[in-house]
Amino acid sequence: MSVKHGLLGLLAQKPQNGYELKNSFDKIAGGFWDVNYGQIYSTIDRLVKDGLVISSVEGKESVERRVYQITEKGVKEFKDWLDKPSAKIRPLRDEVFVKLAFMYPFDKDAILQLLAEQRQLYLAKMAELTRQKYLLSRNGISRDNLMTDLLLDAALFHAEADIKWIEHCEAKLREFEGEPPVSDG
Amino acid sequence: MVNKVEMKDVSKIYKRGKSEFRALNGISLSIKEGEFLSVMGPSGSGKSTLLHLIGALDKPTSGNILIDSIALSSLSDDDLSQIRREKVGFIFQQFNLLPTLTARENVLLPLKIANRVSSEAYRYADEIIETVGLKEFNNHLPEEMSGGQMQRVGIARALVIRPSIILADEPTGNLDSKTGEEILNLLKGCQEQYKQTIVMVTHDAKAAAYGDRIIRLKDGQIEEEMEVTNALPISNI
Amino acid sequence: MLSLFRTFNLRYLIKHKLRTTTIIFGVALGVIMVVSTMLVNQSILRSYRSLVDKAAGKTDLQVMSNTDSGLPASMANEVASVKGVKAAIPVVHRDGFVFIEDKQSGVLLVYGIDPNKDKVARDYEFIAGRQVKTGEDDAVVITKTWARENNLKIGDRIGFAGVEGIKRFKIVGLLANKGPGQINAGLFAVIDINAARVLFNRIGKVDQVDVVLEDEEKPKVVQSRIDTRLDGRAEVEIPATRGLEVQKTLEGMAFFLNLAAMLAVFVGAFIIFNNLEMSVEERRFGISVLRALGLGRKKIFSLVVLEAILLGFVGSAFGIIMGSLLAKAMSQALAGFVVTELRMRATDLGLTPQILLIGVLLGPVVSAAASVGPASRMLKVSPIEALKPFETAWRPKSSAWKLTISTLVFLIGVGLLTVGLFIPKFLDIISKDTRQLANYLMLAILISFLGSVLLMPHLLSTLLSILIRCGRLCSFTLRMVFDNMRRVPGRTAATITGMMIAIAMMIAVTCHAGRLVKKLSMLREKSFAPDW
Repeated sequence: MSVKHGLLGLLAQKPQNGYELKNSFDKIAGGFWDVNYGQIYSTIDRLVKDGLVISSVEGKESVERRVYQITEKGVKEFKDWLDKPSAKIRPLRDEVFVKLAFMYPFDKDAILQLLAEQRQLYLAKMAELTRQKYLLSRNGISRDNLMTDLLLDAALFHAEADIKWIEHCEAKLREFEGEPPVSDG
Repeated sequence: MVNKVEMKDVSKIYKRGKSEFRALNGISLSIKEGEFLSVMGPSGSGKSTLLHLIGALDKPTSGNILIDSIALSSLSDDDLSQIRREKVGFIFQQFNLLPTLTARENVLLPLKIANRVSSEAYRYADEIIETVGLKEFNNHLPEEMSGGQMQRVGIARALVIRPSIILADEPTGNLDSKTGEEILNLLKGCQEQYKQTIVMVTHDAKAAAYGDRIIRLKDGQIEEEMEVTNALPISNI
Repeated sequence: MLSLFRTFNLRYLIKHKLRTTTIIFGVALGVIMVVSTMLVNQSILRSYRSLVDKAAGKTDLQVMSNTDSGLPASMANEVASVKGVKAAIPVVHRDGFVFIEDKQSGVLLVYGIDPNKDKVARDYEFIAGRQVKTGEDDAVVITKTWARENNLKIGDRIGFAGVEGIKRFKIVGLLANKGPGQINAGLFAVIDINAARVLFNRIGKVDQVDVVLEDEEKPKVVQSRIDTRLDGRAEVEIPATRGLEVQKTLEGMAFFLNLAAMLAVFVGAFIIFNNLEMSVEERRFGISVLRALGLGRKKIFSLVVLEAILLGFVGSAFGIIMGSLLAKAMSQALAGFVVTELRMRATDLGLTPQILLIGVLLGPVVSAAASVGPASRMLKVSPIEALKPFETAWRPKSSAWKLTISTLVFLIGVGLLTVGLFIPKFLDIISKDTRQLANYLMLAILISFLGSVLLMPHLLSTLLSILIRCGRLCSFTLRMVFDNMRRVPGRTAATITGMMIAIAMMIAVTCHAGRLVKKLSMLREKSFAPDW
């Protein structure tokens, strides 16, 4: 859903073609979110179909040269979306959980090994992100990089949550299977 | 380059009546100069005890600890006090400032204790106070300061004697996440600017992530270890 | 170090004014009592001694009137004829209102003497001038002390109020400050006996006959001979004995004041101890932080003791001033009583360097001693406490040998007291000197109290343990109270023992004061110079 609104927002700033749209999107998402041309074009087509965007054909040759423009209806849709808070919690589409669902209850040791390795990987990733964050803050937070800072924070908080959940899983799995708890208060 | 801290097969055993409790169980660890080490682990894993021993607050039951090549096991209580006041900077979770002293006086306290009263020492202290962003709170009492400000005092106080090693015990435990971030950035900055060796105990992954090396304790031993420069786990003990 | 003291100790003291004041009060309490007692004892006893010893001089017996009208002059000759009497010296004496340049200047004890005979009884030593001569009816000898006080010299005139108005006398001699020159603390004058008789309307009379015995005669023997001879017309006394009685009474009073002072110091020490304990315990956390930061144990110890010493000096200063004032008040009260009864003047309440030194040092020494307990307890504060700021369910371990020593000290003290009070034979073995006996008793009392102080915490702990075990009988609040007391048995015991001593003191004072007053009143009747 955010791809749709992201594109609307970009077009609300100024009309752009597909190539420009991809670049702008990448800049905003800050390297976190890979969107490819396929997603962009399929989304744009839907937007055109819904009457939120119109395409003006400049040249007869390539699709990429088509310039898209936002309609009044599109502007309204975008503004409504901007002002309304999200009602749903993030969907849990964690790969780890899926793996877990398949492995349990067959191979407990393998599960614990997986969880430990995943946890370490998350931590390593967090360390990397923290380093970036530190360098950013050392050079000073300005209007330009504030969003990047917040984005890094988002990633870190989510990674922290994942790590906490994994630690929690480890503790519960151990206890449930009859092993004494890892720690005592 | 000699390691700042060397621990060989260190154990700490507490006797409770007839039973004994092994807080640390044969731990070996080396800490390089200028390194930022994060120590994680659940309650009871021994991470606080580890900090106590490195900080010369207590002596190991067995094994060797060397700080700057000085062996702690053979030292008397007075000698340990000397080590603390000359070589160790401690940052506490509860800040632990003396309530009747202003911010500046709290920062200068270790100098008074170690009897370093030269003008050079005071100049360095003022520089630290500025770096840490405390100058406008110099004359405030702890009761007039926020948690973040108090922890800045704590950091400045730890730095002021140019210690061989800085030990931080859950430094952001009592702070909200934004203030905690500021404090951790500050600590990291001190590592860079003043080449301080830092050991931080925490159960907060976001704080631990500031370290160059992250170890995880379980039942008094090192369970996992990770070097952040490679961003890959080293071993899984 | 000093700056540490300033921030850690001084600021705390200034912030907690009530606690600080209480400690200073505890110090001052002891110092006030000790200083004032020393001053009063010094002045009163000195005055008295000077009066008794000096007035009697070498006299062995004194024949005195049992009425106000004096004795016939012929009695002196009668007495002289009794076997064993070497000399019988007549004396007329009165309190004379003295006038210097027509201004009333107090009262002097005036002796009218026979200059030839009197030197057998008293050794007059002159610093200037000479003794009055027989028949010289306007010559007077005064003491150098009094002369100096009033800027008088040989040749000046003073007046005495007599039955015919003020009679003027010329000063012919100044007595040195020893022997008779110290009679009545210097408020003493000598004139010819006949001049005295005229002045005070004692013609044909004497007020007393001083008797000097032949060598080898016993005073008691001759006393009964004179008694027989006089057949009740006069009283015959041995001045030494009478003096001794009063002296004993006064010394009893002095002993008692000393005891009160010592107990005041004790109670003061408790107040200091209690409050120091609390103030140090309140700073326990700060101390643990200082330890974590590397401050050595010895330094912590000295910081606490130094604070106590500082408060001790402040308390001493206050105590010396208040003590002097109290001494003046006590002396006025006592002197008012004693002077009318016994003719004494409270001499200057000078703070001798000795008393001053004791006063100055007493405060800090007692404070320092009281601070050793709390300071040592702080030595045990572990730096790790700084990392775990919660209270432990710590209970002091009672050690068997502490209990043994406490019980021993207590039993020794009580034993010495019991033996001293109830087995007179034992006392004789110790010594015959009353002053030494007094000291012995005081020591026994001190040891007893010390023993109770040491023993009390143990008794308390036992009592509390028993009480707590009857847990179901106690309400929850009460159980918490008992548990609290059990955590700091030293402090609780100190409070209890302090109260015990205070109550003991009050009872003793009340009983003894009554008896003292009665005894001194009895002696008033035997005083050696009736009033106008």
